[in-house]
This record gives sequence, structure tokens and C-alpha cells, in this order.
Amino acid sequence: MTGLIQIAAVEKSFGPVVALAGIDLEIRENEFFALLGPSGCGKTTLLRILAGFETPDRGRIALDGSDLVAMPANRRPINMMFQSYALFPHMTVEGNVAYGLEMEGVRGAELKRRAAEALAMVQLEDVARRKPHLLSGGQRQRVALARALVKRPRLLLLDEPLAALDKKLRDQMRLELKRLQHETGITFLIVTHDQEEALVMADRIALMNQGRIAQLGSPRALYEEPANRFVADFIGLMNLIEGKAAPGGLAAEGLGRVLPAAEGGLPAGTPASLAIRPERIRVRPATPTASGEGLAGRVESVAYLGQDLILHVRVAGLKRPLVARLGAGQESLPEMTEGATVACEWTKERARLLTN
Amino acid sequence: MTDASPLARLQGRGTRRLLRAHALVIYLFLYGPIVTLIVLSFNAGGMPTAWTGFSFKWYGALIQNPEILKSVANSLLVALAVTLISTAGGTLLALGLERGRPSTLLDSFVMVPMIIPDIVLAIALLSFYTLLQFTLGLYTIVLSQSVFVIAFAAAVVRTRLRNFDRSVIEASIDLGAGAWTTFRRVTLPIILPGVIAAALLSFTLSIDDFVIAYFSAGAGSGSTTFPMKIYAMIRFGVTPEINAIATLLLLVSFTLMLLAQRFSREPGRGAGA
Repeated sequence: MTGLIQIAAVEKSFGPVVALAGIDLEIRENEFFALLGPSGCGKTTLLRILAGFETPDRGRIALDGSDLVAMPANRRPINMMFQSYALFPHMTVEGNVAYGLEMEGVRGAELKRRAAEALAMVQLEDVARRKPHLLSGGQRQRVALARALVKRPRLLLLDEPLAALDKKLRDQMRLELKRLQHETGITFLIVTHDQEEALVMADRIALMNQGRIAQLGSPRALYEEPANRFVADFIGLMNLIEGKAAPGGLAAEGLGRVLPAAEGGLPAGTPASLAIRPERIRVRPATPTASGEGLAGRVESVAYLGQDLILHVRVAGLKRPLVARLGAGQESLPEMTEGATVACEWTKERARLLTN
Repeated sequence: MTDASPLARLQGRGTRRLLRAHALVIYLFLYGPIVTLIVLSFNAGGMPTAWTGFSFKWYGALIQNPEILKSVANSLLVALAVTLISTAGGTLLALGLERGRPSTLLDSFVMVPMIIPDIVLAIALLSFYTLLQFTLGLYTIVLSQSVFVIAFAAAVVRTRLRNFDRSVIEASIDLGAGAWTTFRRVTLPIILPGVIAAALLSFTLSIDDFVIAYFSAGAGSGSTTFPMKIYAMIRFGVTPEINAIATLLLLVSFTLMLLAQRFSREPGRGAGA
């Protein structure tokens, strides 16, 4: 995969509000890339800069090696699917899709053919002559998609494309977007605040926080190897235990013992958090007096989720209860009731030490 | 409100009857004179005190009066010019105001010509023309009327713009259109109903205006507009001819206002095309 877009040291402020505080990023040819983050993290600003609706205060952006910032929005080989879809209400579905081609000077039979092709790609041939207000939310979303794809852009920007759809349709459209990206070979850049969406669809994710990239990597890397506390907390469920780095793990506050964790090169004494996923915690029944490897605690609540069981285990000395996720096939399950005394343990390599 | 609603039960039968009677009196008060005027314009005898039969003769007399026809022509000319200037100016003003940073100050300044008393505006404009040594005539009427009609036109277009999703403009640019193409193919078609409503309202306001036109017309009789002509005629008493003119004016205003309302309705069903 080769680089398509190079973003270097891009900054942008709106008055006193810093939206982007220095972004370096490469978006590769033919990948499905996600900008993920909480609202206000700058992801939409970066998207709008790429589209050409905002100009960065500082920094460079290149497409295929040539400057993109100086290029006006209407000449960029980049198209956008808007969060509100922004369909032209006075044009038919066909008119909406043909608009971008008309701007390129495509006319007559070829215009009709290419618009029809784009509509076929999203299975909307039947409603080509309707006005947008007669369509369902899902259909409108597809028109917006066809309209942005029909010009065969180098980069397709999708601004929270699934936010307005209901849950069932959203799941369906995730696969659909993935399929379209694969079929067209166009680079997709999606902006979303929904981590599940990013994890399911994207090849690579940039998780943003306060105008910076907190971590860039594959969904698996972000989940399994979070680079810092923010990433660990944002992606999925994570137990975070505060303390200081120590040989062999973390000297936990209020526990007076070292919990096992991969040290990750942190010098002993550095304030850090131990991060362990709920599904990595093993829970076994224990007697109150038994000492040993695990952390002894009392089951505070049990939530039954069908294939999984979520336990909240209160450990004396820890601020928050440990959350553990157990597979329903486990043998000791009947003993995991509220009030039961248990021991929690994990393999050292599964727990990571993160700086705050 | 159904009879079962708590408020209706509270009011009781007597109160409701009284309210209904009150409404009837008000409507009579509002529309009685207008209906009288229309009826008298068809009165053959011409006396306001006695009905002597139905006739179109006063309308016929109107058409044969060259002075009246000339004033109608003047009014139409002025109204067309004012409509063009105000609709274009008002639309651009509305677009500018909606695009810019929201400003109460700017909004108020746009409203002022609408609420300022006509007579004050008329005097101000007259002094202004005198100061600049303008020769008064039809064109000064056009200028003067445009001053306050633009404000109304802008207000009408703005109501339409308020529900306007600005991202369609970005979408158009994103798809490769320039600023002018975007205006012609996206912005204008979407706000067109508002623009048409503004034009109709502008025309009505101009045709209807007496005070400002009167002050801006100058001494010559060449720039007498239709309302000014009626005013001149009325000095010799209300003639049936005037009733006929008034009825026609009413018809024109009414039709235009109805049309304007149709177009300024919310986008969506019917008027949304």
C-alpha cells in the first residue's frame, strides 16, 4: 500500500479554541481509515480541512505528493458524504447523483449511464425519479453515498455516515460500506464517535483526543495494545488500577503489593495505571482466608448476558470494583453469586502498564 | 378544542355564546365597510343612499378616463421597478444576513424601515432629495418605495432561509460546482418560493403606497400614481367611480397576497417544488 495523503504538522484554531494541535498522518491508497474520538476532539475539523471547507492555520497536506491546501474545494478529487446527507431537495434522486458528473462536463447518454450505474451499486434503481423527501432514511443515506461515489474520487470522506440510522440498519450498512469500499477500491475515510463502528469497519484507526492523535493503528492494536490511559479507557471496557511501576508489575495504591503486568520499559516508581481487559481476568471461588496469587474480593453484582456473565468484584483497597467477563461455559459459574468470595487473577503478559 | 376539554367546561355555555356574539360584531366592524364599498361600486344610480339596480357602468367610466388610465400605467411601472429592485436587493440582503455572524444590531437596522412611520420616512427622503438636488419624478418614487420594500422582501426571504440546510451548498461545491453555479442550481431553486413571495409582496406594497409616493412625486402631474389620483378625485366627494377603483385595487391586492402566502408556506408538501 502506498501513501495517498500526507498530513504534516497541521494545526487549526477557531478563536481561542484549539481544534487541531499538530496532526501528522498518512492515509494510504485503498484503505478504510477511521478518525475516531469523542465530540470536540477535532476529527470533524480534520475532515473538513481535507474536503477544503476549512484552511489549516499551519502545516502541510499533500495528495499524491502535490499540495492540497492551495487547491479549491471544488477541484479536489475528494468527495464527501455529509452527516445530514445534504441532498438537493429540488432534484430527483437521479438528478442528485448526476450533478457531480455534470460539473465535470459529462452529458447525454454517458451521464445517464454512469448515474444509473451508481444507483445500481446502492440498489436504488427503482426510486431514481423520486424526490429525496419521499425516501426513507436508509434510502437517503444511499443516495448520498452514490452521489459521492459517482465521481470516482481518490478519497471518499464520510462524516458520521450511520449516525442517523436505527440500530438494525446501521449494522447492515456497516457491511455494505465495507463491500463498497472493497468493490470500488476507493480510499474511505470515516469520521465517527462510535468505537464499535470504527473497530468493525476500519483497516486502521486514528483515535483522537483534544486535537491530537492519541494512537494510530489497526483495530486489534488499539484494543490489545493501547498506548496510553485515554486509549485504554475509550476503546472497549477496561479495568484501570492506579499505582507506580515496580519490578514485575504495578505497586497498586492501597493494596501494598505488586500486581503482575508487563512492564513495558517503564522505570520503577513512575506513576502508571495497570490496564486489564474484563475477559482476561480469571475468577475462581476462594475462601476469605486463602492467600495466594489472585486478588481476593467479594462479588458485588452479577449480570447475565446470555453467552457471557459480567461480574463486578469489590476488592478491598481498590477505588473501583474489578469488572470480569466470564464465558458461560465455565464450570465454576454456579458459585459466582452476589456476596461470594472469589479470587481474581491474570497472566502477567495480558496486563499492561500505561502512563497517565 | 373539544367540548370535553377542561377549559371549555370551565367557560360554560353562556360565556361561549357571548364570545361568539362578540366575534360576530368584530367581523361586521372589520368587513362591513368593505362589503358596502364593493356593493356600491355596482350601484347603477350612483347614490350611496339608494340601490337602484346592478350595473358595470362605473367600471366602464373608469376605462374611458385617460387620467385614471395614465395613473394606473404609472403605478404599474413604478411597482414593476420596485419589485425588481426590492426582490433582488432583499434576497441578497437576506442571504448575506443569514450567512454572516448572527447580529442583533444588523437585524434591527434592517427592521427599521419597516417600523418607522411612513410619514417620517417620506419627509426624510424628500429632504434628502432636496439636499442632493434631485429632480423629483417617477424614479424618485421608485427609489423611495424600494427603501422600505427591500426590508419586507428581505424578511420574507429570511423566513425561507431559516430552514435551509447550509450543507447543500457545501455539497454542491464538493461535487465540483463553482460559487455561481451553486447559487443558480442549488441555492436559488431552493429559496425560489420565498423569492416569489417577496416579489408579490413588494408589488402589493408598492401599488398600495400613498404617503411615500406622494412626497416623492414632485409637483408635476406626470408622475401621479393610482392612489394619488384617487386622493385627488376624492376632494370632490366619494363618487361611485372611486368605489369601482377601490374594488379593483382590493381585488389586485387580495390576489397577490393570497399568492404570496401560498409561496411562503413551509417547504415540503405542495409548495416545496
